[in-house]
Amino acid sequence: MYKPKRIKKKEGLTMKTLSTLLVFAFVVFALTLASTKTAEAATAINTPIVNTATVNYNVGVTPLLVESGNDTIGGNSTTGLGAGTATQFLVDNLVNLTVVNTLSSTVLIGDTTQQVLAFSVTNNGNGPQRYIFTATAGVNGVDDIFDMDTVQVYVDDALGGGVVGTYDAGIDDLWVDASSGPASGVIAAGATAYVYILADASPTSPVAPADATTSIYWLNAQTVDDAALIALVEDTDGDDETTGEEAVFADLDGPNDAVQDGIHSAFGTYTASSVILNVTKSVSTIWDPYNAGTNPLAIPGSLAQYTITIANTGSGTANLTTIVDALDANLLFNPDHATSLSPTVPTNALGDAYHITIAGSTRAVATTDQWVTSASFGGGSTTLDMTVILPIEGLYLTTGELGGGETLTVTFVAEVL
Amino acid sequence: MKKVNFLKATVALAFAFILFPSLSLAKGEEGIIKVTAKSEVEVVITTKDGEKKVIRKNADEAKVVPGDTVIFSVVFENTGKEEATGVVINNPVPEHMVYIADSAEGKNTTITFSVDKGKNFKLPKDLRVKNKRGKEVGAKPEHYTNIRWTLDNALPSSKKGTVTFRALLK
Repeated sequence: MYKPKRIKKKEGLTMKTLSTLLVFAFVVFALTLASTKTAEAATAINTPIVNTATVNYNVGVTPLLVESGNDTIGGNSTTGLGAGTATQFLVDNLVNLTVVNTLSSTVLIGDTTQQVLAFSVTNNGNGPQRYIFTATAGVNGVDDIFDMDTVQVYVDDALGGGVVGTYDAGIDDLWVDASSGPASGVIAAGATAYVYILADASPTSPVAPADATTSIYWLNAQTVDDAALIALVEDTDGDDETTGEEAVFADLDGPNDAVQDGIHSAFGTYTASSVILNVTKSVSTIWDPYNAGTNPLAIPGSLAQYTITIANTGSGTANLTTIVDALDANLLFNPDHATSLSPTVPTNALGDAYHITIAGSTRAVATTDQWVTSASFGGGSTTLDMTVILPIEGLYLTTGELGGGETLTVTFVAEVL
Repeated sequence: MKKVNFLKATVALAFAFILFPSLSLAKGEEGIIKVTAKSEVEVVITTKDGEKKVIRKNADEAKVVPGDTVIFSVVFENTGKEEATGVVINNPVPEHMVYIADSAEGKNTTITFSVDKGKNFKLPKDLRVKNKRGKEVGAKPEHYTNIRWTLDNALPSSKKGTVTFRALLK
C-alpha cells in the first residue's frame, strides 16, 4: 500500500509542475505576441523568390520526371531530380512609412524651455530604413499664430533606459544628420521609433502670443539612400537594373508631403498659456477709539486693514512662493483680526491674524476661505508662505500654484501707534 | 513499440532502395519534354503614341515588392518523336507567395491543389485544413501549397502548352 501512495504524491507534484510550466509557457507566448504585434512582416528586401515546377510523364511504359529550367537557359529537358534550374527573382525595396503625432504641448510663454511634441515613425516597408527628420514651423494662419525658439529634433534612445515614446532629457539623442550615431534614424522593417520636436517657449514673433493661441510644427521623415545618405529617389523607368534594391514608394501623403514621395509627415501643436498677475494692495481705516466704525480716522490707536489681491487673469498656472509685506515702524501687527466693530472696543477673531479667500476657484471651501494664525507667518515684516496658503489639491500638483482665473485675497489688520 | 517502428522503417528503406534503381535509370538522360518556368509581372508602359499598355516582364527584370502579383507560368513542349502520356505538372506555391483564388489556368487540364506539400491533391471544394482549435474546415487559397495540372490528353510530338497561376508576394 505504501508504494501506490508514493506514486500518487509524485503524480500530484508533476501535475503542479506541469500547470506552472503551462502558465509560464502561456506568458512567454503572450509576451512574444505582444512584441511581434506588428502584423505579418512584409517579405524582406533581397529575398530570393525561387520556383521550380516538376513534370511527370510516360514514354511508352517508362515513367520520367523533369524539372523546369529558367528562361535564361531556355528551359530543361534533362530528366531526374536536381537537373533543373530554378527560376528566381529578388524582392525589391518597398518604401512605406507613417508618422503620427502622439503628444502636443501646452506651453507657458516666456518661461519654459525644451517643450515637447512627440511623434511615432513606423517603417511599413520590407527592409531597415534610414531617415532624415525635419521640424518645420507651420504656415502662419488661424492655427499657427506664433513660432517657438531653438527648435530641435531628438530621437528616442530605446535602449537608453528611459521611457520609450516619452522624451527623456539626458537619455534621448539630439538628431544631427542621417549619418550620426544612435540617432541616425535607422528603423527596422515593421518597427516604430519615437521622434521629438523640442522648442523653447520664448516666441520670436513681434508680440507675445495671446492666451490659448497655437503654433504648429510639422515633423517630416524622409527616406534616405543608405549608402549616399541623401534622399532616396524612386526609380520609375520600370527596369530593374540593379540586383534587387530598387525602391518602390508606397507611402501615403501627410499634411506636409505628397503621396508616394518617400516622405510622411504629421504635425503637433503648441498652445500658448500665459500667466497675467495683477497684484494690488489697499488699506482702509476701519476703527478709531473715538469714532469707532463710523468714519474712523487714522489716528494713534486706530486700526488699519490691509488687503493684498493677487489675480491671475491668464490661462496658465502661476507658481508663487512668498509675499513679503514690511510693516511701517508706526504700525503694530494685530494678531487678533478685527471682525466686527463695536462702538467702544473692536471685536477680534482671537488668534486669527490673516483672512485668506480665493475667488474663481474650484478648490475646497477650506482653502477658498481660511483663517491663519499669526504664528504661521511673520509679524513685523509679514512673509506669507504661498506653499501653505495654496496646497496641493485637484488640478494643482505643486504647492503655491495659483490657477488661471483664480484671485487670491489676503487681509490683515495693524494698529496705528 | 519502438522495435516495431524501427522494423517498419527498415522495411520501407529497403523497399525504397529496390525502387530507386528504376528511377535512376532515367536520371540525367535527355527526356522528350522541355520545361521552362517563368516568373513575370504585369507592367504598365506608355507607347510612343502615348498609349498605355500592359505588358508582361520577367520578374527579375522588374521591380517586385510585397503586395505585388506575380504570374508563374510553366511552358512544356514535346521535343521528342514519341508522344508523352500521363503528363502531370506540379508547381509548389513558392515561399513568401500566396496563391490567388481561381488564378490557375491550363487548357485541357484538370487542376487540383494540395494543402499538405503535395502529398494529396484535390479539387478546391474537397480540400480541408485544421483550424487553430484542431477542427477541420474548408481550405482557403492561402493554404494551398502545391498546384497540379493533369493533362486530359497525351502530348504529341512537337506540341507545346502553358499552364499558369498568379500569387501575391507577402
